[in-house]
Amino acid sequence: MSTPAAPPEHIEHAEFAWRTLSEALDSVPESDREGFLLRLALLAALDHLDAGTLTELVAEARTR
Amino acid sequence: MYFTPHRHGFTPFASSPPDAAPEPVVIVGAGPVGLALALGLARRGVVVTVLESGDSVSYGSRAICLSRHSLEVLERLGVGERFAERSLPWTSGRSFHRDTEVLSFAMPHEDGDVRAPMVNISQSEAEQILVDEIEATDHCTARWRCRVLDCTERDDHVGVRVETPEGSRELRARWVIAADGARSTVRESLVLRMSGTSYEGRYVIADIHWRAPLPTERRVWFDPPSNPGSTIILHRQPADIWRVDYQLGPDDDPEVETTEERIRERITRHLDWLGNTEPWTLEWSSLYRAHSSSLDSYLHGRVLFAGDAAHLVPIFGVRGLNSGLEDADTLAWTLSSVVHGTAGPELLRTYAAERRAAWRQYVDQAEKSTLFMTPGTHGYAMTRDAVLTLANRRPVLRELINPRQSGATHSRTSPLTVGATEDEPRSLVPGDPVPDHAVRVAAGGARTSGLNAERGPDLAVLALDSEPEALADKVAALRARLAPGVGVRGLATSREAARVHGAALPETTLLDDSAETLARALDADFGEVFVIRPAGLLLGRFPDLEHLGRCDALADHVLRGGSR
Ligand SMILES: Cc1cc2nc3c(=O)[nH]c(=O)nc-3n(C[C@H](O)[C@H](O)[C@H](O)COP(=O)(O)OP(=O)(O)OC[C@H]3O[C@@H](n4cnc5c(N)ncnc54)[C@H](O)[C@@H]3O)c2cc1C
Repeated sequence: MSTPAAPPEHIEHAEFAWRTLSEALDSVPESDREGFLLRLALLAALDHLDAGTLTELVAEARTR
Repeated sequence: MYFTPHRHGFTPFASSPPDAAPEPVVIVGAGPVGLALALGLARRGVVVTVLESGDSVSYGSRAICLSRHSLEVLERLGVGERFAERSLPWTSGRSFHRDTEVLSFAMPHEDGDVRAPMVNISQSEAEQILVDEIEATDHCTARWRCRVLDCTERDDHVGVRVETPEGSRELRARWVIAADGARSTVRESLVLRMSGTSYEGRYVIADIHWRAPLPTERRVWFDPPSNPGSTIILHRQPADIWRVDYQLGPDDDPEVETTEERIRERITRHLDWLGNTEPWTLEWSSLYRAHSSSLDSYLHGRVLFAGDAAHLVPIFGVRGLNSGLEDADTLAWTLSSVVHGTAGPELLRTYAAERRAAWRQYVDQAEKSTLFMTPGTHGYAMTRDAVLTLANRRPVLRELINPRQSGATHSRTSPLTVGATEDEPRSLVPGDPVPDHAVRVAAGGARTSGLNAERGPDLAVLALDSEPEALADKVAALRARLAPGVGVRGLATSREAARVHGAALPETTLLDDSAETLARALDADFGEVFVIRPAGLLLGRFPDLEHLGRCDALADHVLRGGSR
């Protein structure tokens, strides 16, 4: 698949998400990594996702 | 042996006599940056001595990818054809996560481009081409087996102590250029430190001889079934040499992992997994760790720094040598102006500031590539794996996998750059590198050429569709002030066939742009004038020749390193 360039603002956002999440994950104690990610996902779900979208994203994230 | 370096003997020489004038320029280090700078200075009539501790060019795999911009620099040094003959051009790459393709990228390559965005050539070959050229060039002497011990700043010169096979010597030089690489002795002797970041993660780098049916493109495998958890990069070089870089895990013992047996085992697993049936041989290997660091300034009294002696960038995205060649290109014309006395030493402050800012631009890009290629922390490793897993479902994530291959840096905020005078945004703004473009030279029997070749190593005034006679006057006036440190050339384009086939003008080259392709490539209006610096950056763009103003003022601006 040849990759059409995404709009710059989308790329910037993807970069921001990648770096912010990486650094946030590094900043929590090892024992709390799972808890931290779950709290983050819960906050994102409550603030930004309806039930349908959340269900879809859960299914998508299951695929590795 | 896959590369047989030519051994150079020591040529005896005496210390500089105390009552004689110091040598104009001594360059420490005959790496690619020192060699390119020596050629750039010698071409401008500056007498230059290069001191090299070794007796040959480097051996083993280092820089293999040169950018289009670097090839332009090399063309202006007169070695472009030899690089073109001996290198492999490429434009694209693919990345895989386990066994699934997650990225296919193509670097920009458009109609009218003179060369591919990237070529592969071994650094040893590249250095040998430069050495051969230096041997055939006046004003320039490379002295092998001369290890610089230290440098001492004196009133009007620098004392350089050199260890030679016949004992120590002291040279006196007006200007010393430290191009002696990452472990610079000159830097150490001046007690200067680089500061920056060292990244976690080590890579084994190996060159193999392999007749493979794969195309010349960059291939990367993240977590491949052949070597789970590792990242493997594959690049083709000329003469059936392939460069394999692979990442070691945090628990791998580098001593064990760099044994020949272990390297063969890892590479065999990967090539077998690719379905290889061809025999291959391991030619060379080494261990690499990424660093981003720089001196605060590249100018210390009469000593200037260039290349790895001044700054380091991680290899991912191939910026090391490419940035060093930009240093050499900028330093050649600025230092030559100072040595010839047309400019004062303040011009060198502009070199130092511009190149330090360029390192910042490189590092901003290289840092992202490096965090992705060798995520040093748990957080970066986890997100990297998540990005790779999701990349085919969320295409924007592929941008994070893209290696951001090196391009040329800009000097938009340099004091030398004459700011844009209009509000309309343009794709090429002052301070940007002017892209090379195919052109038709009209006079002397039409022929195809490139803008870069026609500009040569000089400052160029390119006038689109304006009066060649008026341009010739401007060129003559600028040349009167800037030469011999910097040459000046005029390039005039015309859309009218009748005019372009007319008589040749002494000061300008006439370009046939009846198809308007050059004007489009430069995003230019007719009548517009582009002043292009010797190293290829756009000094400024002006609506017409009159807006260029007085040539004396423009020349002063250039020679002072801009308005401060
Ligand atoms: C594994 C690896 C892969 C790389 N891949 C790429 C790539 O694909 N693209 C890219 O652009 N860059 C790449 N680089 C970076 C590139 O190799 C360097 O940036 C480049 O060699 C810098 O050139 P230089 O002339 O500044 O220094 P060097 O090449 O290090 O040359 C310095 C010279 O100075 C000499 N010297 C040192 N001390 C003294 C002394 N005291 N007296 C006299 N002489 C001395 C040395 O012998 C040497 O010849 C890579 C580097 C590595 C290590």
